Parts: sequence; structure tokens; C-alpha cells
Amino acid sequence: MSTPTSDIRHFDAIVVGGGPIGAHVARELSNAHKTVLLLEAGRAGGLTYEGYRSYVTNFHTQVAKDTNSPYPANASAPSPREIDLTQIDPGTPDLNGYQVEFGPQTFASTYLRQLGGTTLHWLGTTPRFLPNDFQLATKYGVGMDWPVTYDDVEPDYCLAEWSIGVSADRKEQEGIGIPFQKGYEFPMLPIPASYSDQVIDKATKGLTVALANRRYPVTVSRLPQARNSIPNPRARPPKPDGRGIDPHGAPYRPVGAVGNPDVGLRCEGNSACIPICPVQAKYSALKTIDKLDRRYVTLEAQTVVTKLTIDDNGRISGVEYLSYDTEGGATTAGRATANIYVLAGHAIENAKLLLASGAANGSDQVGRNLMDHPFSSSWALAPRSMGIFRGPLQSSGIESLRDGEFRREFAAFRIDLSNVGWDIVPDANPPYGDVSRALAKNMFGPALRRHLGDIVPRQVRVGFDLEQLPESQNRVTISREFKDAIGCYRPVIRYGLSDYTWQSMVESMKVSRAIYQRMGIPDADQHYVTSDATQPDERNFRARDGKDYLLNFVGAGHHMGTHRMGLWRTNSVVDRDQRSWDHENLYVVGCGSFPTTGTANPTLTALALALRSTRHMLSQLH
Amino acid sequence: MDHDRAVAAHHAPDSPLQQFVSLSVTLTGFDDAELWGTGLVNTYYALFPSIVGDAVFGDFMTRWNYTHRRGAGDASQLHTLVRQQILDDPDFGPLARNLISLWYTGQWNQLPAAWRNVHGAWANDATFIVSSAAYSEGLVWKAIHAHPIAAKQPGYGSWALPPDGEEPA
Amino acid sequence: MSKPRSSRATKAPPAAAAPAVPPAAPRPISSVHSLRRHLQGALELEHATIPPYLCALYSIPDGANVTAGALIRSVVMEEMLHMVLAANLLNAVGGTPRVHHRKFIPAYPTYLPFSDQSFLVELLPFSRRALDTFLRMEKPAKPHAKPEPGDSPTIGQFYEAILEAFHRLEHHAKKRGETIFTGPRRLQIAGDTWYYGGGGSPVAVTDLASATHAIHEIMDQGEGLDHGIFDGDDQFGQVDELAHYFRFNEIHLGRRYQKTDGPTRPPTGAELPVDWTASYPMAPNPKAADYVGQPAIHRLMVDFNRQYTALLRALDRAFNGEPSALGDAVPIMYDLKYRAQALMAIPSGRGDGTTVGPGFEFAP
Repeated sequence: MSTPTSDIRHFDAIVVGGGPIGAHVARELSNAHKTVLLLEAGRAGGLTYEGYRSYVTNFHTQVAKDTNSPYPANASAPSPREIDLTQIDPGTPDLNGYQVEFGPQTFASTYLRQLGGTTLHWLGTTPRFLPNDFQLATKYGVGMDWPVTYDDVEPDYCLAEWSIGVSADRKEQEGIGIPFQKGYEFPMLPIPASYSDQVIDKATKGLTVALANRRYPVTVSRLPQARNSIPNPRARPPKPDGRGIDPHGAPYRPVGAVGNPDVGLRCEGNSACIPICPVQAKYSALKTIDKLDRRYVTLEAQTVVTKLTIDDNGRISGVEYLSYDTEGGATTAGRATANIYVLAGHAIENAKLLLASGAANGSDQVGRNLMDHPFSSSWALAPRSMGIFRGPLQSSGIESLRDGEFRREFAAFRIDLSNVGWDIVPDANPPYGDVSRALAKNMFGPALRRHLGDIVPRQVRVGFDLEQLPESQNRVTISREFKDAIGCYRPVIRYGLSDYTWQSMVESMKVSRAIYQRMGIPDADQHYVTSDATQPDERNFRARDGKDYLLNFVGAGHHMGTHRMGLWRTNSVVDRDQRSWDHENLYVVGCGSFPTTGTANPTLTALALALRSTRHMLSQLH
Repeated sequence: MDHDRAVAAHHAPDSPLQQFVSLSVTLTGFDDAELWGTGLVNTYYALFPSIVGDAVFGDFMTRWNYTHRRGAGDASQLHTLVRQQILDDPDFGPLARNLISLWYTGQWNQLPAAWRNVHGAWANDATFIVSSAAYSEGLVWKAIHAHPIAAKQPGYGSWALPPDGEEPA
Repeated sequence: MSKPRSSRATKAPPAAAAPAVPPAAPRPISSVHSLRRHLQGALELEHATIPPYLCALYSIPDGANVTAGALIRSVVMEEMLHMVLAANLLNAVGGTPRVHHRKFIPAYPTYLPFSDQSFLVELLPFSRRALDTFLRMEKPAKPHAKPEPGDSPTIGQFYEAILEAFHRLEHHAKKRGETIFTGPRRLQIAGDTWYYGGGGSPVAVTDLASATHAIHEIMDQGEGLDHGIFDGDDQFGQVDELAHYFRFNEIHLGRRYQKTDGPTRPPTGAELPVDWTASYPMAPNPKAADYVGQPAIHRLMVDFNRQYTALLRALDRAFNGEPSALGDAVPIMYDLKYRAQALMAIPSGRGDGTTVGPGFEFAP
């Protein structure tokens, strides 16, 4: 164990980033009695119940209710926002907001720089990757393989699911091709499927679709979610290394709100997972941070790490940071040192910091291969009420098209079913948009009330999280031209989709159409793209069938690939333990380490990888 | 207390507050108990003149009272008159739509440019949500048989039940 | 509105408020049959406290009296747990909990079932008067007070009598090679599957030890462990909480207790700010019938009562072999809260500044 020497503070480990990954790394290291400095660029507001509730009421009174709207803007640690996005003109960067965007497509995903990180506004859906997702090159000749296999990660998936509290059914997950170790059960029973899920499930029984000349079933299943449900009385926790089940362990106890543990013990159907769960039934990293052993963990928020310094032996020798008292106000420079350094600041911020430090970039891959799950939607008006706006934002998905031979030709997709109607549909903005449109038609009185009660509950929206391949020109860079209020680099982003993903978007329409037909929805009530040319990310795509399609997508908030892991130092930033090839005491962890995207929401996999890496970190510290 | 004023006014059928409530009932399709149940009658009654001024608000209420009297006792006649005299009127239509918007969403919308060119641009006339309570009590959520996002949660598992009037899936 | 009568001589409560079990219960509890009747009475007693607490809680506007509201809420959660425990006790001895019937709900103002009828319980908004009643309802028994199976001055003495009967009757049964615990195990509601949100987890009652445990849980949360101020609840994975009386006393006196405080002296901890004006001025003891002349209000009152009755129906199912019905009760509980708060914002039309409120009346 370390004691401070001179005025430079020294720790066993410095963890940069107080989100889910940083919190878990800090927990694992401190549980082994290692001293940790956990640095967070944003505020620590959510650690009191009242502070967190203030974000909820703040959300209520925001006119624009985008993903970061509950959280006060912070000029000293800015975050991207959807409301800052504009159409990109070719050749002219979009300078609006925090991200500088060169296109050709808008990178429309956001994250949050605040203690708890993006888990404050994440959806909380936590599917595992499929075994084939780790071996895309070997199986389908596209993308690249991961340096770890599903089997390598499986024990850590179990640990991660018990750590954050995942509600799911093992059998149901096995049905979509996810293997589990013997005896394992999810800590909580699955979140009930919404009424609209049930309607779609019933309508699509036995439905199959053809993709690249093979037929695949369209099967609705309940989503694994990091959201409190009924604890599974039969489930016992995994052993500390994730290998095997501890038969003497106690069943899972749901974790309630930080500072008010009786609240949030079940999902209460606030329909608000994004941007904020008002009762904290949804996992956020605040729950992990709240329980950190403060004898070993020093938490410092409002501290922006600006640079890693490197010594002559190629080891990281310290972090330099700027701390601030008031957002946008004066900063104080500081420095701290440690035996190991862990960057857990998000795929974009990790890459920025490495580039700013000239670190870890022997492969020239830092910041490259930026990926997301481009998200496209179709929407329709069902013949009867779907009972929307009552549950978590999503409770079921269609997971049966996440893998198949078609991946040689175009991207796989994970389909989610909205519990809140046309939420992501451009300009729909339910139910407010419905009110505006009715008022524009001069509706009023009982007719207005009846009209809204008729049309809004019938909204159906089917969304596709599409796979995207690693492409080196999709990247985040930094430039002296573009800095924020305290002089730190803003992310400069170049981003586009290849035909692999565009074609998949066209294929996805077939699936939507098949679902809607089964539901008895006439063609006139089915919608695929907007015809409004002002929408960002629209593109005319000539598909394999020779037809032109006007396509459109938004970001899923799943930033991946910017410091990818690999088997060789020539084409990856970190090794299979997420350790930098170039600096033996530097780890770069999180979704940025993913070589390919699969179709699963990435946080659970990032947590599993992080837990795996902490064992390597501890072996270095012993 | 604000409330006493409200209660006293409630009992005077022709009081300005009661006229405001009856206009709100006609425009929203919700009855007076439902409107009072939001706890926002007094808030909105005070808000309107604070944004567009007493004179404009007074004219608006005068037009409503005139319309109301002419349509008294005949719902279909009143409906037609409200459309003609208020909603289709360039001066009062935008105010009426804003009143509906307040009740349905808790949001005051900045009045249209055409209206501002005639009546002046008032300092408080910006698009904003009145309060957390105004958001949570938005009638649109009742109209669509749902709860406001991030407020008045329906409780674990409620979403699995069929909505009113539907059979189990 | 029924008029309070407080004549102790006749001990006749208002007719509509008659508890299902007549106050002239045999004493001591001499048979399993009598024990069952007392446990059904315990269910009625626990339930009778809930509408008054809920009225106070719901009358507090969002953002006001936050600590006081949280304290009242925590008591309500435990009263609900006590209902589950009372149902478990009754099922354990082969009884049938019945909570979905007209006489199960008292007509407020009412005497507490099995009480000595020294005070009336009303439906009131958060106020000093409401807190005074709550303190009387939760008043701890004096040390060594004798068990009182009927006409009990305190709830604690009523439960002491039940506890004593459990031991005595089981002892006698054992001597005959029998047991009083003849109820089917499947009727027991246990664990945190269906019950959550504070108050602890219900325990299954299958024998004398678990029955004793359940009764102590009820008594300690209500009155305090061993006549102290805390409930000794850590075995339920909860932090040590004040017994109900002392939680209400904190609000009453505007000050928190601290660890070193005792039951006979006022609290000496931090100040607890209470704004007695920050509550909806609900007219006491609302009844749907009072508003037949105002149809829009009357309709909302009846809707509330129907939902409340639906809640009791769900509880009845939960207590009679369908524990998952507790899950069905949750959305109803939330809905009741929103309906009650809306009623409390509606002027009553009495011209006295009061508002309407929830009636908690039986409306199948």
C-alpha cells in the first residue's frame, strides 16, 4: 500500500472516469486494499437523493427533453447533446455544441460527463454478445475477430450481471443462442413484457423472414435489463472469479435509490429510462460509487484530466489535470501519480486523452474505427390501443436476427419494440407533437380529448440496432483549432456508414413490413422514412434490388472501437487484457476496446471485460 | 391563502375565475372537477394576464362570455360559436390554443409572429414549461390513458395489463 | 357525516363503524376459534390505521414537509406489512382472512377495533390535530401492562393478548398431541417476492416460534423494542428505525431523536422543520354522499372508492392462496394516490376554504 510522498499524491491506481467502468475498476482494486484515485470530469451531483431528484424536476421543466436534458450543462466538462445537431454541409464542419462534426453523416450519439457517467441516461438494456460476435472475421469473413472468445468472457458476464442487477430469464436467452455456465441464473426475474409486446408477440407467432436467401424466425423475447424486478429466489451468486456458482450465497437483493434505499426496488414503469429513471430502479454507476470503500478510494469530481505524462522507459509517469470550482470558471492545475493508470472515461474521451498525450498510438489506431449501432426505425398505427406510455421504454425485443449467414453480406440487427410509441420518429415527439398537430387543425374540447385518446395509444415503433464494421476513416481526432471553455480539446469527428450497414437498413424494412402485416396494419398506416429532407443522416441509397431508398438513422449512443483490443500491436491499441501495447502500466477500458460492434447494447460487455482486466491489474500491483 | 380566494370564487358562478374555468372546460373537454384536480386553476388564471397583460386577457374573457351566453343551453351551437368566435379569430385563436396547450402539456408556447405584430411582443411571452407540477398534470396524459413520462409512475408490472377497454393479448 | 359519539358508558360506536368482531369478545382468548376472530380483528385494526395515515401523507404537496412525509410513509409501509403478517398468523391457525367486505372498512370517524374507545380516529389532512390522533393510536403500552384481548387501551396490549393465547393454546394442543398450526403452508406470504418498498420482508408463520416472531415484529415496529424507542429491526436487513409512536413524536415536536434518547424524554437530535400550513385543506372524513349535488366531484369520489375496493379485493386474493395478487395491488395503490391528491385539490364548495378528499368507502 502506498503513502503519499512529497506534494505529489501517489496511489496504487489512478482511474480516469467516474462512470460504470471506472466505478467497477475502482471497486475491484479497492476491495483488494489498493489505493485508488478516481477522477471525474463532471459534477458529483447524483450522490444525494435530493440532488438526484433535482435532475428529475429539472427534466420536467425542460422544453427540449433530449438525453442530457435533466443534467445541468457544464462548460468545464461539456457533453454532446442532440439539440446541438444540425445537417452537415459537405466540406463544412458542424461546430455547434461540443462535438465538431465533419460528416459525411452526423454522428448523433451522446454521452454524459458527470459522476455516474452515461448510465445516468442509458436505457439499461443488457443483452450479452453472441459467441459469433467475437469471431466475425473467422465466421463470416468481415470485420475482425476479438482477442477473446465468448467462453473467455462468460464468467465475467455472470459477475457483471450480478453486480449491476440484471432481470432476465436464462432459458429465454438460451433460446436466442446465448450459452451459460452450469447452474447460473440471472439475479432477478425478467421484467414483464408490456401489453404492446404481447400483442406483437401473438401476431408474429411462427413468422419467418428471408435474409440473403435463408429464412429466419422472427421471435419476440423479453430483454435482459439492468432494472430492478422480482429477485429470483432460486438464483445463487457466481463465485468471486465468476467460475461456478456459490451454493451457499444468498439470493440477490435489489438495490434501491442512492440515499433512499426503500425507493426503486422495482421498476415502476416511469417510461423514462432515458433520460432519467426517477426512482433509480434502473442501475446507474452511482449505486456502485455510493458503496466504494472510501478508506481506499479517493473520489475527486470536477477534475478534468488533460494529459498523461510518459517517462523515458515508456511508462506512464503521471496524470495532469485541471480542477474547477464553478462550471466555466477558473481552473487549478494538478498532478498525481500511481503505479498503474486506467482510462475509463468513455470511448471518445479516452481517445482524446491518448491523442492529447501522444500515448498508446504505436498502431495509429487511437481514435479510429469509431462505431455505433446506427439506429433506424419504422412506425405504424395499430388498429387498436397498444397501451403505450406505461412501462420501461422497452421490455421486449426480437433477438433472432442478430446472427446468420447474411452477415457475410450485410449487417445483423437487434430489434427493439418501443413502449412509448413513436418516440424516436423524426418530428413525432409523442404525445406533444400529437397535441400540436391537433391544435393546428383547430381541434378543441371533447373532440380533441377523444382524438388524442384514439390515435396516440395505437402508435407502434420498431427499431433496429444495426451492426457497423470497423473502418479506419471513421474517427475521432483533436485539433488545436477546437477547444472548450477550459482549453481542453473538443472531439472532432468524421463518420459515415458503409453499404454493409445501409443495405441492412433496407433489409430491415422487410422485417417491419412482415410484422405490420401480421398485425393487420394497412400499408397506408406503415411508415419507413421521413420525406423531410432537413433531417440529418438522410441518404439516397441504391440497394441490391436496384431500387433507390431514402434512408435515415440516428445514433444509439453506443460508441465503440476507438482504442480497440487485438492480438497484434500493429493493428490494435490494447491487448486482450485492455493493457496498452505501448505502456505496460496503462489500461484503456470500456466500449472503445471493442473490435466489432455485434448488435448488443455494449455496456454489459464492457463491464465484463473491465472485471476481467482488473484481475490483470491486480496481478501487476501484487 | 390563494386557496381561499379560489374557494370563494368557486361559489360565485359569474366570477372572472369561474368564467376562466368554464372557458377551460369548453376548450379542453375535461370537466371542472378534473381541472380543479390538477391544482393548477389559480396558477393558469394568474399566468395568462402576466404574459399578455390584463387588457388582452380581459378582451379574451369578454369574447368568451359573449360566446358562452349566445351558446348557452345548446352544446352544438356553442361548439360552432367557439370555433367561429374564438378559434378562427386571429386575435383570440392563438390565445385559445395556448390555453389548451397549457392545460394539456403545462407549456406556454410563444405566440405566433403574426399575433405579436398586432398586439406587441410581451417580455414573458417565451416558450417554457410552467413548473414541474404543470408538466406532471398535463391533461394529454389523461387523454391518452397514460402517465406523464418520469412522473406519476403506474407501478411494477402495470404495463403488462391490457389498457382500459382492451382484452388481454 | 356520522357524528362522533364518545360515551364510554354504552360503548356503542356509530352503527356504521361497528367492527366485524363485536367488542364484547371473550377474554382471555379461550379457543382457536376465538383466536381466529381476534386475528381477523387484528387485520381490521391494522387496516383502520391506513386511511388516516394516507390522508395525511397525500395532503402534503410535492416538495413540502419532505421529512415528515417520509416518516409517515415509512409507517404506512409497515402497517401494510402488519396486515400481511396478521393474515399469515390467521392462515397459520386455519382461519380465513376476509378483507373484501363492507364491514371491513370503518366509517370514519371511528374507534379503533378492539380499542377502549377513548378516542375517535378521523380522516384528516396533515395537521396538528391529525398528529395528535396518530400519537394516541400508536401510544406504547406501559411496561408490564396486562394483555387486553378486547377494549385494549393500546394496540400493544391487544397483541400481547394474542401472543399469550398463541402460547397457551399451542401448549394445550401439544399436550393432546395436536397443534393449532393447521393452516396450509401455501397460504403464507413470505420473502421479498411480492412485498417490498420498506417495512421489511414478511415471514411465514408455521409454528410457535415464527408466530412469536411475527407478533413481535408488529409490536416492535409499532411500539418499540422492549419499551425503547427503536424497533430492533436489523434482522430484516433494515437500519434500526424508530417505533411508530416516536416517529410521529418527532413530527409533533419538530425534532429528531438520537441514539441516546429514551422513551420518557423528548427528542434531543436535529431540528425537523415542519410547515403545518403546507397541506391541502381537506374537509374531515369525506363521503361520496356529501357530493351528490356536485356530480363531477361525486363521480371522482365514487371512482376513488371503487379503486379502493379493488385494492381490498386484490388483498383478499393475496391472503387466500394467490400471493401474486399483491403484485396486482401495486398499480392500484399508485392510482389511488394520484386520485386522492386530485380530490384534495378540488374546492369542496362548502365556502369554508376546504377541499374534497378520498372517502375510503366500500364500493364493489
